[in-house]
Amino acid sequence: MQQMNRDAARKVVVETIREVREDWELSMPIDDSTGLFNDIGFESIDAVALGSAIEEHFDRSLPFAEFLTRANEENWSDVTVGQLVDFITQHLDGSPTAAPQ
Amino acid sequence: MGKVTVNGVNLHYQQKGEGDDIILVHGITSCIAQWYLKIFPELSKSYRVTIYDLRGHGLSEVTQHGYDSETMALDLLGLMDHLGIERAHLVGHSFGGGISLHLALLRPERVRRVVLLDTGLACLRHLRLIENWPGWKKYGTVLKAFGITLDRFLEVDRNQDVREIVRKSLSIPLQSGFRRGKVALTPRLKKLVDDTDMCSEFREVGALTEEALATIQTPVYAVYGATSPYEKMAEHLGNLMPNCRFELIEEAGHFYAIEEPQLALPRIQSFFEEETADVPAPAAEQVSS
Repeated sequence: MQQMNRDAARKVVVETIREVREDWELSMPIDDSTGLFNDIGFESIDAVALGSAIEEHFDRSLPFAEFLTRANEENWSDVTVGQLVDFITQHLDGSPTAAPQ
Repeated sequence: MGKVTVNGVNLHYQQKGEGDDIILVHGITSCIAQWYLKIFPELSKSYRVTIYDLRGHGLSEVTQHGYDSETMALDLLGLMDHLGIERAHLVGHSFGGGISLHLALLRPERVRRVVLLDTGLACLRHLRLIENWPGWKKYGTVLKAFGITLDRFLEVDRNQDVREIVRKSLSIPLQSGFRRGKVALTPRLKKLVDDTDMCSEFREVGALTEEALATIQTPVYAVYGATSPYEKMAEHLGNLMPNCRFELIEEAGHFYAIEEPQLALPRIQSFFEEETADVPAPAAEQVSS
């Protein structure tokens, strides 16, 4: 199983967000507390593209649909970069991390 | 995730799963995200499922023209050719159903079965509920607050171009999801609505007339919401098309397949499984919900 620490995962997430939103002049700083939808202005299609790009980066399938469904069902106000980083590290190194929110 | 240029337009698509092919076709002003959380992953457990953004939508190229059902059926055909899909089951939500039927008309050998999820067809516009649409009672106050009154709707609807109504309806804040409270009219959709001819071209009947529908032998399952403005089209299609069954889902509106995908999923699965099980194609009938 591939090992992944949070810093490395965050770097991939931030770079991929900038790639996905490259047409929209995203110049703001991005950290763990940044919300994809409320702060960055994601549309649903951006979330789909981000999930796919991260899967392609790691060359493996990740359960993004289940992650987003859970976030939806639990009425999260947004999905933050930190929550996404937790999700990725959890699934890439197989070890449980603190549940988001 | 892939991108390919077919029929003169660059289309974004995703594919998942193994087995017989299903292609999911979304409607006007939507994108592949509508399938992403439930219907796409569930169907891909048993089928190879392809989802794609229509031209002008999602991550596909925005073109000035080409938003009529025939051009978009040819987009779909080009995508099937590119992906090596010889025959596929099609699921179309709203206008996506018109695209699916148009492909069944043009290239019946490429289409196995079609599920229509509350599809409003241009040739059946005379069947739409307008004054007597139950939604006016439920949503009338909100619609009026955003400039959509029955009188204004009727006035704009006389024209081929309904940009004003599309624009206003997308200006109503979303009630659910991560973007709740924000308007549906994102910068991408604004470009599509304001800068292209989509808002008139999607209303063209073209070759998909009632007479043409009556010649389509492809098995079709028309699943409509009982409170949708298009609900009368379900029974009409059941009578008009030689191999079409229909169903009205109680309490469901035009967007049930997006808001309550669990209503659509088992119906899609059972209809496609029938063919796999080699059950004779369904006769026209009403199925109680």
